[in-house]
Amino acid sequence: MRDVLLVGNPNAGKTTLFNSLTKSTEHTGNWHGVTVDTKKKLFSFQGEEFGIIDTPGIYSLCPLSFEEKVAVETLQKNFDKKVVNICDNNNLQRNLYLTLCLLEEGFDVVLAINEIDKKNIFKVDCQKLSAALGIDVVYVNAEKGDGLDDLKKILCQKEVKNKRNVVLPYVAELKAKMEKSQFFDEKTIKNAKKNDLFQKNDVFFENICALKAYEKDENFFKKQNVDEKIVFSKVPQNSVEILAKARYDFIDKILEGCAKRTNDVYGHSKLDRFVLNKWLAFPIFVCVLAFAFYLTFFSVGAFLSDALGNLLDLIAKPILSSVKAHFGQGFLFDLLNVAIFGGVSTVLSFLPQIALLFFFLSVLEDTGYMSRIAFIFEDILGRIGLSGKSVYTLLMGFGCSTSAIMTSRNMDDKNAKTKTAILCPYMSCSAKIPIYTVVGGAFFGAKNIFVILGLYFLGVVVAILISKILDATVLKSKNQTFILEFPPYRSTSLKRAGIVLWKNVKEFLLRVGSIMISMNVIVWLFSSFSFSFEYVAQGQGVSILEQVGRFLTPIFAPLGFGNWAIISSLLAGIVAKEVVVSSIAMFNGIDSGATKLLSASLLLPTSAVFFSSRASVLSFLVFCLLYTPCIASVSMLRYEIGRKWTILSILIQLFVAYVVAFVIYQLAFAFEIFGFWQIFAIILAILCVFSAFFVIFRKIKKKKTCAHCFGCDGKCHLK
Amino acid sequence: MLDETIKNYVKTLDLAERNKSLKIVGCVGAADGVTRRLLELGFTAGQHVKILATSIKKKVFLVEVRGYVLSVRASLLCRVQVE
Repeated sequence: MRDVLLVGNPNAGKTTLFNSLTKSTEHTGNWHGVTVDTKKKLFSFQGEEFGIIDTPGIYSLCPLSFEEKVAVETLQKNFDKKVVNICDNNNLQRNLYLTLCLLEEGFDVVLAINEIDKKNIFKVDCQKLSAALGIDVVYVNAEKGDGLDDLKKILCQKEVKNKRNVVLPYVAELKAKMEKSQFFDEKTIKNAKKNDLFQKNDVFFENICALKAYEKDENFFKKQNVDEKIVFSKVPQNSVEILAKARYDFIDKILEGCAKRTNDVYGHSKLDRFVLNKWLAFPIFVCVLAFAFYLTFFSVGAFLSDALGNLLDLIAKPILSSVKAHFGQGFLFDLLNVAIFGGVSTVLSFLPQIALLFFFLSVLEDTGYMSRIAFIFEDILGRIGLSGKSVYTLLMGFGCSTSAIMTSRNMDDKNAKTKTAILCPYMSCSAKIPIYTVVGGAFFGAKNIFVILGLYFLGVVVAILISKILDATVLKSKNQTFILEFPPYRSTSLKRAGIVLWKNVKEFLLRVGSIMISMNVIVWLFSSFSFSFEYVAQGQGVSILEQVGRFLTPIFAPLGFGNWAIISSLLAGIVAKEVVVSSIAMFNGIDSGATKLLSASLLLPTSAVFFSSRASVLSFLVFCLLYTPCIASVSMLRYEIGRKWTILSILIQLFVAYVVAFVIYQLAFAFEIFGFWQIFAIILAILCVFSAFFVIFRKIKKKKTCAHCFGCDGKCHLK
Repeated sequence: MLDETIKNYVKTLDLAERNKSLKIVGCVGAADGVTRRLLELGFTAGQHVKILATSIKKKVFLVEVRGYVLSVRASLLCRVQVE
């Protein structure tokens, strides 16, 4: 088996090509930084097996963000492997910059020019470009699969292990311009010879050293045991600029002879006049989200959810009646009726709503609107120590926190990355939809849409406040490098939307089939047996769960839901948030997938899970929104930000959930007792006093800011 | 005298007007990762750039360079000198 590396600029179509070659369905999107880790899969061609390694996008071999480091390290570890460099045909100049970087370091490169759109900005003569660069060049359409056979044929050719004899013309010129005194002393060359990278060709090693000196790559010279300050003194002060210009001049020169380009500007659209307009940008964003949420939670989503619930009910009834007829109403019947059908089918009926939410998120990703959102929010997020890039991660958090936390890797600043990952669970994930719909629906009816939207909004507000606090205390962000490429608007591919839907539906069904069923059985066992292992399901004694729940009741009493069954469902929800609703269904003895039945049971004082007032319901929903995320998210947090920050993040979440739920309960309770307007007037008065103090405080401590740039704290080099 | 003229003529990109094509003179500031990235993205001397849009607080700019569009923070664009 031969390994092949897939590299290229962000959003050039690497993962799309990877999917086409390996017939897989890895996540793709029309924005910068979808892939944040390497992936390897196999494919075979003409009897030969290849292992293709997909890498995150890079612009050069000098990484800036965490995911770029992953890509460059993978390249360095696989120096002797063939590299497929995929270039976007619409932005060839910028994409070829990376090709030159790879060629300079002696990689065995195959250039795959990806025709992403029908209207291509560049028209390239592959043969001429191949002759100019001295490598194989092939046209592909990564999405449709065109040109893949040509690419595979090239990959079948033997690897050229030493491409170092090819010296690009500008490299020799730059080297000649350096001061003649040798900075490659004998010790350096001796050390370098031990290194696999530079075994054979000393001239090539010298060229690389010259380029690294121009690039001012400190790490390279540290690895070679060379004092980088001496080396950097041999090159001009603006050497980085000279090298970049030399590369681009070379690209312009070769493209002049082998490519034609139109005058279109890639990524620019007339639609941006409205989408990015300072008065329209936020209303458009709110309308887009409100439309997506309305279709997800109500109209289409609610209709499909009800239909699926009824269907599951129809399926469950004959099975249960046949079990009852054969085995009677005992342990087995209770297990099937309550733990399996009652709990699981209730959650399963939310499948259409969860699928719709993922569908809308995939549409947002495909259209190119994500980058526009990042642009719109950069101002606000910059003020709370985040970057516009955090928008991707936070919006993905509305789908699934676990996968969203992983995308925080595309940040350049470590503190911003930690902060973004910590804030992810505050974005209400799709697993919480059943809780809001069932519990909120029982008490608020048609007005539940406002409660749900309010919960989503509250999550965002709490995240902003926490980010601000973290930025002011332990996680202060440095001046961040927000540079983001604007992709063009594209229509959603039905094929991709189908893949996204199927992947998420499959994942949800797997979760229901594995974690939820096992968790429901565990919860049912703990709620059916006492500490002395007696079967107490018929209400003949106190179960293990009830005893533990009752022990914790005083802690939750100030939040308005001091009920052992509610507390037990919250505890079970730590494994997966869907389990909260299935546990409630179990405790209330709901034996079908009809959510209306479950909602109605919450209003009955005789039910195990019963809410005495709307205030306690609101408090419960807020606690569910803000408390500890599921186990999968916690383990992803641990992987991305380390143990210390994960523990701290969980503690912060528990504290915030408790405090906010307490405040909400007390306020809602006061509204119920004293009436809306009285409490509103009191709150308004308190706010006025605080605002007055705030204004006075700001005037006293007015900060001096730089007139030349932003965020330099008065140390601006332009002064 | 000549220096004075150049000083008046050259300005940083964050102070440039919208929709006006300007020629890059060079990148100033430390030779760190950010300057390197700006150069890798095509902000090299002699190239023409255009500010297409700004964010509400004018802290982020939409810039056209080498035939494609980028959004960049103003604090970074102040490293790009244009004439």
